[in-house]
Amino acid sequence: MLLRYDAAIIGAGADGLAAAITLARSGLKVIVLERNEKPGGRCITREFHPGFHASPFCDEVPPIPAEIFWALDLARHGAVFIPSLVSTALWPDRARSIRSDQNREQEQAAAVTKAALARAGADAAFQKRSPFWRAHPLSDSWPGETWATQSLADVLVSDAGDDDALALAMARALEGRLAHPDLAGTALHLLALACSGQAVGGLQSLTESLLSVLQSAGSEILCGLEVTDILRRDGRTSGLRLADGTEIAARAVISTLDLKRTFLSLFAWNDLPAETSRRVASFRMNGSTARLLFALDGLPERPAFVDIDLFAGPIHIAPSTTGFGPAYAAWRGGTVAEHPPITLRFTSVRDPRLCPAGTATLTATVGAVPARLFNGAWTHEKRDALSEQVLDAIESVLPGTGARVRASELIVPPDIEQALGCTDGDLWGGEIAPDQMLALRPWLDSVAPRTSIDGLYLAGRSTAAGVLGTCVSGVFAAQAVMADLKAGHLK
Amino acid sequence: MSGPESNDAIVIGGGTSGLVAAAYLAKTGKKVLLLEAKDKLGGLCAPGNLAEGFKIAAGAQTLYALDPVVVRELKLPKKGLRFASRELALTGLRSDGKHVVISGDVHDTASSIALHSQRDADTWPRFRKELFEMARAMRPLWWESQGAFPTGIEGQKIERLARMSSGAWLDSWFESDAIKATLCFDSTAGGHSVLEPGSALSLVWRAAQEMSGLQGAVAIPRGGLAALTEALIAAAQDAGCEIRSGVEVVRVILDGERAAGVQMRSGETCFAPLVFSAIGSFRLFSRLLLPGTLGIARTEASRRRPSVAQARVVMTLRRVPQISSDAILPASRFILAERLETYVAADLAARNGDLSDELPMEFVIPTTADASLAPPGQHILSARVRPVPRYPAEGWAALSTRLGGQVVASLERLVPGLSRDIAHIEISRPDLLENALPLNVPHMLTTAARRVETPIAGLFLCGADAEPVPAVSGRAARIAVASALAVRR
Repeated sequence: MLLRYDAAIIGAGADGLAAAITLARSGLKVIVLERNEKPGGRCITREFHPGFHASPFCDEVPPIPAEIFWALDLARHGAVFIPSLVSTALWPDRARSIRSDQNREQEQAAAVTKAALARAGADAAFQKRSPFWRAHPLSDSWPGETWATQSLADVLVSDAGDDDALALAMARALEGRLAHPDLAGTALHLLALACSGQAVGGLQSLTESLLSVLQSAGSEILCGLEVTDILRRDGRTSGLRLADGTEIAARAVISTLDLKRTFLSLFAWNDLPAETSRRVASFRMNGSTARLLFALDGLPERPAFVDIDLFAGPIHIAPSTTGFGPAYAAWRGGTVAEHPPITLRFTSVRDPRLCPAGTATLTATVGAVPARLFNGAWTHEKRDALSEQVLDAIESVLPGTGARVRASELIVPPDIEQALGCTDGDLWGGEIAPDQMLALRPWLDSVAPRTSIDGLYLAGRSTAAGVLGTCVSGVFAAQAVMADLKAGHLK
Repeated sequence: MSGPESNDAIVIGGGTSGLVAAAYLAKTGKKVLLLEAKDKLGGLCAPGNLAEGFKIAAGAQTLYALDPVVVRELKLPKKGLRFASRELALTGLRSDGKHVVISGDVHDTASSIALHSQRDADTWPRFRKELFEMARAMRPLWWESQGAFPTGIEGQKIERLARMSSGAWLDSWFESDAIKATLCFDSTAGGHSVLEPGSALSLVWRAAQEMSGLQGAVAIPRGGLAALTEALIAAAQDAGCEIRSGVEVVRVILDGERAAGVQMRSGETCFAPLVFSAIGSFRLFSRLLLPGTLGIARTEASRRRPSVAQARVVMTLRRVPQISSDAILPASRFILAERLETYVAADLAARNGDLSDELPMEFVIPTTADASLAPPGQHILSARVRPVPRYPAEGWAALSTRLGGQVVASLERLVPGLSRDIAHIEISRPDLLENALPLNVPHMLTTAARRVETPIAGLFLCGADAEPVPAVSGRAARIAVASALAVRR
């Protein structure tokens, strides 16, 4: 049986679902294909210990721009985000907090993000391939491109009064990722902030509301079957083949997988133009995030020197301006640093339904954790050692936490790769580097979401819009498909 | 402020750039005074005092960026500038003995690369062609005062490359670490990490240079680099320039918002409507100008300094070093760096104030090209090590001892017996990077006219850090003089 659709979308994460909603609402026949049994991608929440729930891969995502949030009608379908009002850097003897509404870099980053998204949206909606390059360098460029030549330290140092404030600002910008903050180009990390706030009920609730909107828009969704091939006829995309051999014909295919996985696993390697394979192969993906989920018997004691509601926002453990460099060096060498950057979130404080009354859930996001260790695979011993190390670090600033741990679960980059299909467990769709960001993400001569293959569109974190916001890249890919259908570019 | 004592122009600093500026100004009939703080002229190319009978320049070890226009217009060959070697090959020394020799001959180079990877050997001619084409497209911008950024496909490639690190760029072309690590050394000039944008552009900048008409060549003058200084002094003096050495300038005197002259350490003052600074811009902006003279942004920017530096290790040898393989050309520059990660590790350690276990270095043995540089039978080995920490945790004195030991040990691994032949060793920190501002991509892509100007009218930069990448060149000096005279007219 041959199934025929206007568009097929690979991956039922937030971006894929947003793309499907946008296309289905305009009357197109759409199908979403998901490899896992359940849709959601990283936006899922599960019970990791009886009674205790957490979103395993992240607690917050890059924000959904307001106009898309309302256009998708997510609020009516139950998506509610509670922004964290305060982030804290906690040392054994002192603490430093910053309120989100008094945070200049975040405001600046938000303004740049908005302008960059407008630019990406204009590119997507444009019907023909736009003349991409400007005559003069670094002038008429994307918003935020000045950050491509500046280091994180350069940008943050002028606002931060002292070392502690600077360390906190760096920890916020690099959460779960890594970079040497003195190297030029690292300022771009400010654009990749996951600061949506915590979703009520965990990130699963975002997925639920997207699914509910999708249902009313009338799109099909097929879970539990992996797409194995993108089919091409006469050089253009003609459809998909699934793991059970089913072929689906589609005029357009939107992939929300990362760039490498899209091109290297869905095409035979000799099926691609040589230049495309070379570019894809040299795209850098860096798994660097580990997550620890804790079921606690209760909140730890608040340190005596802290006078704010510490547990209501993210807590960065003892950041130091000189600590990120060595952590980065260790990661390059395939080891876990002595003091990796760790961010804690007591998620049940803002969202008590995540665990039984009187208990607490805690997530730790650890940065600079290599996907491949220099001494081989992530064995049980190495996992235990990392859990131990993180717990020790938590204990150093919040004594007594260790005694309250009822259960814990560790997720390292290979686990993320297996669960979500992100190459090397890179949750960001590729290294945040000047040659892989903004206009150059994923590469220069295709105006993302369009790719060098006609009829294949890229959404998700490997595109410029995907790092800047959630759901946006899917909406843009859908707009590009609609523009190209209207212009008769797709058969 | 004109009087019998006044000059038309004052040049601060008597290095290559200062001498070029002075010579150009004097050639147009200006009354020029050049002031050098040290006793010897030449800066990095001043004769160094190594040991009796050995000739080696104080800071630089090869010439690769000398402006051909300067050579022609100042008639340097007539003033005695000759080359002992016009094109040194680039040899990556490998611990496995499969040394990579990169020379102007594409086929020889490819067959040397083929020892490591046939695919890379096939790639080499394409890479070289692309590199050289991009480099030629950038010459107008880098060589002329109002040159334009290339348009069309070359411009697109450069824009992308400007955002790229040399590590990522070379990774996208080659698979073998041997070739990548050998090519990467030149990209770390100016304190760039091989992970930073700008480092790939540095490679293009190197390829845009021309020595004796050969693109991307590296040369050694006959009589050492001090021969260049002598030729330039002759050119400046023949044109009628007044040169005073041993005179340190401590202040640039301003008249309102214009430069009006300089004050020396002795208290003596000199006046001129044009002042050219061939010293590092960090020193100029932070010491020679009164605080608050520059805008806040410029002061803020000039406070940031590169956190990595380079070191130079020079040794005299009792006999010619025997490098075991006979495939090595005698006159070559040698790179010691096994992998790209060697650079990354050294850079990350340097930013942390420490030395990494393996230090990337480039060394030459100039005496194999020009025997007159040393007493008969003896040799000089000059090595440039980078990146090393600019702010070593243990202090420079302690670090340099450790550095010297590490350099000798890594040379010994490739040239067994070398350490026994060392008669004398000297470790220094040439200040090419020391007084410079950190490199950044906008600086590399702006027009030359913008690079030489300062917020103060009549004050121009003409030294190494007014070049896109700091180097012994003279190009910025030529352009600074042209811009200054154009403004005056």
